[in-house]
Amino acid sequence: MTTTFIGQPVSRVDGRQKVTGGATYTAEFNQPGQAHGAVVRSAVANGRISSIDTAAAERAPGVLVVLTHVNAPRLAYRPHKGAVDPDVGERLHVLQDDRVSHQGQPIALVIAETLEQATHAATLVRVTYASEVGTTDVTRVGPVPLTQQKSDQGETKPSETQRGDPEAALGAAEVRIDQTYVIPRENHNPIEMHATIAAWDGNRLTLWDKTQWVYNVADEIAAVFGISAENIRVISPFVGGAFGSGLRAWPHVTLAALGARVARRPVKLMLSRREMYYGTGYRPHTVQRVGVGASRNGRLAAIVHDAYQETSTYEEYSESLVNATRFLHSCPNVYTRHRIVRMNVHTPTYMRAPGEASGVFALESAMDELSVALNVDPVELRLRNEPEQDEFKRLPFSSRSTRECYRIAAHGKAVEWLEHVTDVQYGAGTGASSRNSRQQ
Amino acid sequence: MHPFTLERPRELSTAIAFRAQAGRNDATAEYIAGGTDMVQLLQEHVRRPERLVSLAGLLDNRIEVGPGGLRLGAAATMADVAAHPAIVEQFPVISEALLNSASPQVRNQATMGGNLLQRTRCPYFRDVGYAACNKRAPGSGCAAIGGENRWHAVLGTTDSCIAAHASDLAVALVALDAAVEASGPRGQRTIPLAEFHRLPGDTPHIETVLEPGEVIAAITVPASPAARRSHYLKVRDRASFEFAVVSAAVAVDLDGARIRRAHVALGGVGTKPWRVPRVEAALAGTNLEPAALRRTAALAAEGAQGRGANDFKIELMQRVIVRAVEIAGVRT
Repeated sequence: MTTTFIGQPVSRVDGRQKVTGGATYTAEFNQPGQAHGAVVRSAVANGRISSIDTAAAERAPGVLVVLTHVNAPRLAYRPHKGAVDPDVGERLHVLQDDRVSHQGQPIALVIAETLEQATHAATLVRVTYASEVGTTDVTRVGPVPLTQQKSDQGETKPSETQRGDPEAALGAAEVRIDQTYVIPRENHNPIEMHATIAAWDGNRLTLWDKTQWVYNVADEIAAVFGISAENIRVISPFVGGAFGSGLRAWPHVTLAALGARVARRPVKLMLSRREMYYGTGYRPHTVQRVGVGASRNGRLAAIVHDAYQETSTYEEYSESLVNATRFLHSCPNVYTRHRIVRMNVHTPTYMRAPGEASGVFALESAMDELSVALNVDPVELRLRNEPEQDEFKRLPFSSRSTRECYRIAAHGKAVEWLEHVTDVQYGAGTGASSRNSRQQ
Repeated sequence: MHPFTLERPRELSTAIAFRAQAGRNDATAEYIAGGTDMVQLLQEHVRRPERLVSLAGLLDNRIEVGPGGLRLGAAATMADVAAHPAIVEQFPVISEALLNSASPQVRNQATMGGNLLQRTRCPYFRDVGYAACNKRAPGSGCAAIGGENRWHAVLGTTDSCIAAHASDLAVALVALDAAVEASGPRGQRTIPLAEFHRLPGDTPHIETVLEPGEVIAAITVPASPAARRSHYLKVRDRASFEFAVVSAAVAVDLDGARIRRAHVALGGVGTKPWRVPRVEAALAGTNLEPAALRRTAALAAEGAQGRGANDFKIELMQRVIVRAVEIAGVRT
């Protein structure tokens, strides 16, 4: 089918609403009789709550309910894995026990008539902790292997692979690059902060929620409260940016629904910008050693890609850091390893170009450095190492258009703009990437 | 936000009386003007006044430029001052400092007086989750020393506080020998801006020499040939809506390529807007020539002390001075 759209400016269907203020975002769906929630968050990274005094908060003007692990209803938390939840581990169970696993963890919820009353009362909750030494520095904790998990198809995802003798081949290579690439944690900060408004009608729940995936929110909250997802309606007509942070249903969604149920009022819970660092995900800190060895004529002899990343103590979120390294270039000696560091932080999550982007950044930076060391054009270096098949799986590619991509990128329209720029190292910054996206 | 009573007096004298009831160290009553900083601090529970005294409608907002110099009413907005044609022409460093501050929305709302009194952006001061901050809770310690201190001061610091003063405007004004007209319970007085902000010493919570109840009424800046040839250079982590890593306000009076008289002040590096008189003295009589400028700029580093992550500022501030003088020098 041909279309007249390609190459033509096309207005967004919701463009007018967005620029005129007509688009309604989650926190704007105020409900009749609505109360407001404010979260008290852990000041320590690891330990137990030894006492929590809510008397002053409960006496503060406008306060309806103060929930802590002491008085909050026990929630069902039925076993549930959404497609975006980590395979290993269990989501944070909010206000269910005295355990603190990270700074900023919700430890109390105040529901009051107004937002100002709720945030003020939240400062009146007095907490003492039996604090334990926490681990918050990725370089000071030993990485450990990923927990082995069988996929739906019964395959085990390998976290360590080897073909040939990579370290020996790297050591013997005529030209060698051996570097460590570090990406610090990158926090999600879309322009619209996360927010949820929850309203119960008997056993039916309506959630106005900032989410990229309304069905996932309904499924998860159904599991948390032990009700049927059919009884939950999730409304999210506009999303003010999310970039992956809106895929999971984070603890504040549960808190809003819990507060609304106990207070018997619709409850709005909107995170502050500061709270966006405490429980809505981030691209994890990664440390990646990449060694690439080649002959003088630019044929790869060895790749060693040894990566680790942070995750929380309660879930094993893993990025696909080394997957592409196993097949992207032709190389007889390849070692890959992916490990994790369990820390007192909340669980990381997908961020725009998840996983593969962080990993390929390291591999392709090393390839660029190799091209400089070899004095070979970086595109030419990749063409000389273009594989005929997937050398990891030893199977033909179902499709692969890298040669065409390189040709267009290096000589075609994609670099026309470069002609307007002086002092450009042509080809520097070149990178190939791969994203395994399963169609569902 | 903690509960407070908003007072909206009709007379400035009433406002001053409200505020004067609270002592200097007693933050139970606070002024609010544009509110661009105060409201953030209220929302984050950093400031918890019981009474908030509005200055709306009580302060002069006129901008007057005459042969003797400039007078800015304390309630004049950043946007109006920045765009004033006579300021753009005769005091470009002031306009540039303002246009490099904050965002258009903030500049439409924020006032001259409030700008000079804005609190530090030290993240430990602004996050009550940290117990240690001598500026917020006297005697509690300083989390920035030994903490994340890339943004902090290298000049005028003590073991009590290394917070940098955040105002760009104040840097430009102090370079031009500005003065503050204050109104208080005992009448009016004029304070040179260089003496207006206090060094932290061991009382970093007391930031200015204002007495209880005193309010900034106006700012005056003397006219000078150098003010016309002035420039504000701001180095920061992103190109807009960001505070200075290092900045310099420079004004030069030239005789051909020779500097007759120079004014230099630094931002982002001092616990208060930081004038560098030794650099100014060395620049007088110097030609606008890179090697000579670098030698004189090195004098700014005297007494500077890095705390680890901000060590780089000591070198950077010298380079910023050189470039700012070069840019001001070619201004016509």
